[in-house]
Amino acid sequence: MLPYAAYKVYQKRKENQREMEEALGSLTSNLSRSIIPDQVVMKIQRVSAKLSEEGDDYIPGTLSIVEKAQGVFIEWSPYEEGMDSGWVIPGENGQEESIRASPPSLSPNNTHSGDVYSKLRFSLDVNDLSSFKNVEPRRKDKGMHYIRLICKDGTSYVPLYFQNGETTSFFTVLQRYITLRRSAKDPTLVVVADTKAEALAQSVSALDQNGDILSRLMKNPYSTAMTGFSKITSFMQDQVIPALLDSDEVSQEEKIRAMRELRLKDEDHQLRVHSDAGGEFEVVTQLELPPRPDIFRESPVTKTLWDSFKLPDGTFDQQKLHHLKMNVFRGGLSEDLRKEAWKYLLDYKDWFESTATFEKKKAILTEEYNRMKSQWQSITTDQESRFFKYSKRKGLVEKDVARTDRTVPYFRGDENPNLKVLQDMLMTYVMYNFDLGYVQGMSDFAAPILYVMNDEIDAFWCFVGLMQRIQPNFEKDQANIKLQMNQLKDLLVIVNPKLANYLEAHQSDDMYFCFRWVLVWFKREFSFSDTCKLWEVIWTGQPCPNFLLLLCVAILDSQTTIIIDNKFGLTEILKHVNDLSGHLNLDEVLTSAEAIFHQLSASQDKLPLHIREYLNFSRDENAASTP
Amino acid sequence: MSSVRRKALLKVIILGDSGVGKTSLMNVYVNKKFSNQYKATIGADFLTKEVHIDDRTVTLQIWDTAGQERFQSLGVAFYRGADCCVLAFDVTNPISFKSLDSWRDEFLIQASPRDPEHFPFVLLGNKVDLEQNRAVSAKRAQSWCQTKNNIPYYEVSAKEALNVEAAFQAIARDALARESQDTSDFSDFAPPSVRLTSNAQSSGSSGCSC
Repeated sequence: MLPYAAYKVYQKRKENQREMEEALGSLTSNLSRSIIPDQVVMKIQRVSAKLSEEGDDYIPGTLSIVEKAQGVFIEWSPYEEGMDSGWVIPGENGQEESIRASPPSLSPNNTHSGDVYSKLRFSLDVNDLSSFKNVEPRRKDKGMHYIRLICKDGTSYVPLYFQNGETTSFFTVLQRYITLRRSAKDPTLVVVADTKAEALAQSVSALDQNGDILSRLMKNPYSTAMTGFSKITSFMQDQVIPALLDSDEVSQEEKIRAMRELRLKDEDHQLRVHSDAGGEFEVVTQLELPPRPDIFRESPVTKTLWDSFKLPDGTFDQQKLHHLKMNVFRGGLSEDLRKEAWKYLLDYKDWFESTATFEKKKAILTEEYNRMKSQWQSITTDQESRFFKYSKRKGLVEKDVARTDRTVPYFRGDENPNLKVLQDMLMTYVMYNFDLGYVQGMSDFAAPILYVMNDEIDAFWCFVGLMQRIQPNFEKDQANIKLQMNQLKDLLVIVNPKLANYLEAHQSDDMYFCFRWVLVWFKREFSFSDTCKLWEVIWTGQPCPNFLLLLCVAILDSQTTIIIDNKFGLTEILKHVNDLSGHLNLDEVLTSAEAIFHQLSASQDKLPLHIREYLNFSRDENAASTP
Repeated sequence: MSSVRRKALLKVIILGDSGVGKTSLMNVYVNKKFSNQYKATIGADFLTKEVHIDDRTVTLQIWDTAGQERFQSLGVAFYRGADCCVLAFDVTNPISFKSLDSWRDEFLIQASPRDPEHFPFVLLGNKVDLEQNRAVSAKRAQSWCQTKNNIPYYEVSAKEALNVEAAFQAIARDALARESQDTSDFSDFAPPSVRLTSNAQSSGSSGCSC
């Protein structure tokens, strides 16, 4: 069969070159799918996946590049489960750390099972690779070289740590199939060169003999593109692709890149803000923010420090309260202090309320809680069958409790009594606020509170205090979420206009990809314990309202190069942002958000009115800056 | 060696009440893994999977969404350009079945496909492994499908990976056939190897178990 088919192909070739390619292509791919075995071009042992930013759980495995009938694939798979790898890597100070095949469950978030292992295994077509982060340790003896592959659809794979440091051979082999280029903006980002896009860029450049079309395209990409692209495309086919083959066209590539740089620089200096009067866009001013200061996190507030702010009757000194809150803002709370401190941060206990007064209040609130709890508990199954609004909510709560933080030991296991407490708390909240009812995301907030309080009634009233602040996020019209998305966009325009413009040009300026961050305050992005730390920082209300949005800005800012150099569009941006989950460093996020606050604060008199309002910078007093 | 390969991207949106198993269905199909502890989806996410239909390679982009209605309006940008909408309900939960009408309407409003009458929907009745708790019979689901222009119905179990592969394969086939029809006017863009009519027929007959 093969010789005949090949003969036919040969015949066709004489007739039509293009048809031949297609026939041969499908022929080889069909045949080779069964005949040609996969060829492993390269195999590197001891390449470990790191599950999450937190902790030191590395899962050792093998990285390989495989030529298959369907294409060339980058593959990683963990060593077989149960196999004790016993790999030893040099740690800090020359000490040796061993990497276990079955890592210990260090953080409450980890679920190590065969499931997790085999889920990490991947096989990625090199044609789907968009870029990768390539991070070398600062010092050779400290840390490991790692890469993180990023796909064209925005998916990021787990970071892979090269225990042998054998990255060079990987890159060398990879370059056989794709062209790699280091990002000009971020030396740790290596981008797969897109030959088609570069050809287009060249065609624009070639077309742009007098600089006119290109500059118009840069200024007003949409309308220019709408009117001009058809010309460009045919021009490209007729003139540019043949021209590309000429070697002296290489300088054009340099030219287009230089112009691109120039344009990005321009954008850095440009500032587009809402005009206060009309709502139209206008170029108001060139606002250059001062450089970001270096910010350092401090150690958590201890019980001793906390108590030193307290007066003998249990109240806090009003003069010093701000100072205490700033301490919490800068370092969080030590774990043993959370149970007490969260009651204040969540407005369950008043800062100026004596212990005796609180005890009286608590007795009333306990009674109140039990009353509301018995209300829903008294509803029988029969009654429920005619009480749709209630039974629908009950069903929602049950479903969500069963899947909230179940990997955290406090909620682990099927017969775990804490699940029932969480369920009771949320059902009682439904009675407390029947107008709002239960909305998804609430269980994400309630679970850490219950974990910290470890008391149903305290946890409930703390939850109520928190809901008081974030209830608008759960309302049916979602107006408050939309409002925050808009504010986030406005802040990004000031802090990182280049990224803001990019998002706008890629239909992502509704900022929907930050929805999860804003709704559940990064609960899904950080580990359970990091989330607790983050929340108590935000709950201090320092250093400004909407600090949550500055956290969003800080994370997006850190992803600018990845998003732009990978040319991510609407869906890829969402995917990339979703995949940041578990791979963000909380301290880095907190310090850069605080640094951005200081940047803005220092130039507050130049900021547009709405930005000052978001951050509560008042025009008159300069004291709104750093306390 | 992949120069000849042409890829089609099919966008599939899964909609349905909270807890019917949208995330599980997607994960079982794409990653072959079931967990009964997926967190409630907040926002939207998608997974991609390459499937081979006849001799074409198709990339399915499967979108998982939040089940509570109030969160739907924010993510509409992602619905646009959908090639197929998978409606999912839980056969043990009659409320989730009753909601199907509003999910379908919601999709047609938000995604505003060009030809809403013939837009491909597929209905998945999940959790058939819990037969003893079944509250919606296959017959009832099928007759609902008939009132909606005969949309194909599959009874599936994400937990036991029952019928999931077959359902998504048929979804891909259907959407592909439709996509090919849409682009048949532009022969340059139509895949060379797919014969549209025969393909649509075969998917019609194999696509529906009712």
